[in-house]
Amino acid sequence: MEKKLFTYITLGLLTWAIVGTAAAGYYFTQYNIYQSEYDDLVNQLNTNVGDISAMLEGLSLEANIFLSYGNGTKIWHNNTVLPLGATAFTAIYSIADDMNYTDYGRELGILVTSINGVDNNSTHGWFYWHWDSGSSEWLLPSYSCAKHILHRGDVIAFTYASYMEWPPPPPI
Amino acid sequence: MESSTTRRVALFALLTALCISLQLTPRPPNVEFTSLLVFFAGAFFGAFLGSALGATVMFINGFLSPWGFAGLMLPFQMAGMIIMGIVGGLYGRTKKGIYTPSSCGEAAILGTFLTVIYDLITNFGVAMSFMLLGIPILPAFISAIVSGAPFLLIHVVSNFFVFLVAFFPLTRALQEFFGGENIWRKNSLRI
Repeated sequence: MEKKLFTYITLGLLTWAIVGTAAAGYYFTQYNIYQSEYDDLVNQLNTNVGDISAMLEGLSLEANIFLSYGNGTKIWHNNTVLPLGATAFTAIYSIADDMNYTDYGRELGILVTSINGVDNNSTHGWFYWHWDSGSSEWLLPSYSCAKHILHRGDVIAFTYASYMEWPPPPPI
Repeated sequence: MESSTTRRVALFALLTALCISLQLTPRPPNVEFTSLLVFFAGAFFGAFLGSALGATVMFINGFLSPWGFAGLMLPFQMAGMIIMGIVGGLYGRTKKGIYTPSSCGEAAILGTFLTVIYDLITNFGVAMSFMLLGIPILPAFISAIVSGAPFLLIHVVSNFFVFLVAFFPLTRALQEFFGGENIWRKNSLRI
């Protein structure tokens, strides 16, 4: 009786061992297949990252933005990445932590009234400048910053200055 | 005695028909009742008839299976079922016609083990087709077993439960069937 029982237990364990080995082998091969596919995908992505970077660079521009708060605090935001078609307004909007503006619409465009808590008042206000690399001087455009479309490598400045002195002093 | 033999022949024919029809019926892959019926036929009618039933069923299945022509697998499937019938016959001989509820477990373990043997043999048939493509025998065999592991698992688990649940009731039913013949005779004599 014991011998018979032992025989059946042995047969059961042998069956279990064979099935378990086959299942483990199947799991191992599946693991290797999916690991290999994953590695291929990662390699493919790594190869394409260069292409993606080039494509993103084609869709964006870099500009240098200068901020002068009128109290001696001057900050450069160099190589700020902006989308193609960005304006001086979107440039300052992208770097300012806090900003207010008034949109007068149509030809008048937008007037910046506050940057990072420094507000326009009856004596002082925000001016924006554009660096003309041809003449190597700062120009004070006579139109809204929202009308000024940026190009790659453009340099612009926002300065807080008094209205009493005209034209206001250039940023640097 | 003649009546008993007639009944046995009729029953064997019925089993064969049942076995073939079940085997040819569309069903989930590797869920089958042929192993049980061949093992049972071996246990009840002897190893020769059991293995003959298995070989016949697999031969017919090889041509008419809903999964298509068996091809190179056919002799291996037949060999697997012949072993099933032979072991069924040996089991029947050791039991001497006395089946108890513990036979459920014995049949389940034997059936499961024989299912593994059957799958190893048929996987060798698959490996033969790989060998024709130039793959050495051992890698081909291992590859066939590993790639067919999910089907092996389904086959083993389903046959474990099929043998566990169905073998003992089948033997009981047949014993009552043949015993019932004598009762009927006695009753008829009284009338």
